[in-house]
Amino acid sequence: MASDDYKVPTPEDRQTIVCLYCNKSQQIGRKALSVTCRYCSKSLKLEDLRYKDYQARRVIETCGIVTIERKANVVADRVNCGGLIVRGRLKGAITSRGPVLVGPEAEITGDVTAPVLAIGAGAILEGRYAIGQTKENAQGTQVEKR
Amino acid sequence: MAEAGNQEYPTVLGPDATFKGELTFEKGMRVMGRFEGKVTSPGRIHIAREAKMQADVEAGAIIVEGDVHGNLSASDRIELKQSAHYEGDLRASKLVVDEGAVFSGHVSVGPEAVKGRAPQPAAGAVRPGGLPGQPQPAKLA
Repeated sequence: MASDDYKVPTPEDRQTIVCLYCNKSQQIGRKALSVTCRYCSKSLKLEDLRYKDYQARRVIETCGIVTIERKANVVADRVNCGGLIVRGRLKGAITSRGPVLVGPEAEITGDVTAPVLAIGAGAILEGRYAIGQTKENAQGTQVEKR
Repeated sequence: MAEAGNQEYPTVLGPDATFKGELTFEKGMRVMGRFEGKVTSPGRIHIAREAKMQADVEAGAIIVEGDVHGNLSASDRIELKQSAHYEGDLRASKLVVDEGAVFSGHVSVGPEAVKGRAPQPAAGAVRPGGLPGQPQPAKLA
């Protein structure tokens, strides 16, 4: 039977992610590119996204890291990600679970919610910011293992 | 060492001091106590870890390590250190945020953000006045 061949992944093959929707953490395989949240059943993208040119999107969502390269100009209603690196231009409401790194020539227009913000000298920022453990960020990540 | 620190920040609001009103200074100031009101300076202001400020600040450079509520405007830079807790609107040419700093509010950062908003040079070294909105003493003709 096929189930006899199945090997449970060893702990080092697994990573912990936090659902973008229900804020619950869960362990998944390190090689997975997308999963369904076991708590809220929403689909979660895990891959890192890299933008190099003009892109207009309604939503950019991933548990991975979004990178906006130097020549990129990305316009989105909402950016929800595990981490963000901006070297070019980005317009949209940003919610990041990890650090937001802003390069020296970057330009961000829109609200930003993130635990950590690092800004290079010369960057242009405009919007409402909630950085660190503020009231806006204090929804609390619930850690549960299954 | 202490001498060098005093030269950089000749004006100091000590940890047991409370100041309410409007303050202007020329070079640098270190706030270690409580401050309510308004600060205007072309120099730099350092808000120490133990300081609590409810103030609008316009300065050349602002370094925050303590608790600040109010609007900050710096012609050069604003630095939010690890222990900083800041709530208010922020306007600066450059912004430095250390890991662990907590802040929320509207942010305008970039060379364009501070154009035409440079703080006026102070007339005196330290000039305590009334709170903003309170009647000021009549000027002599």
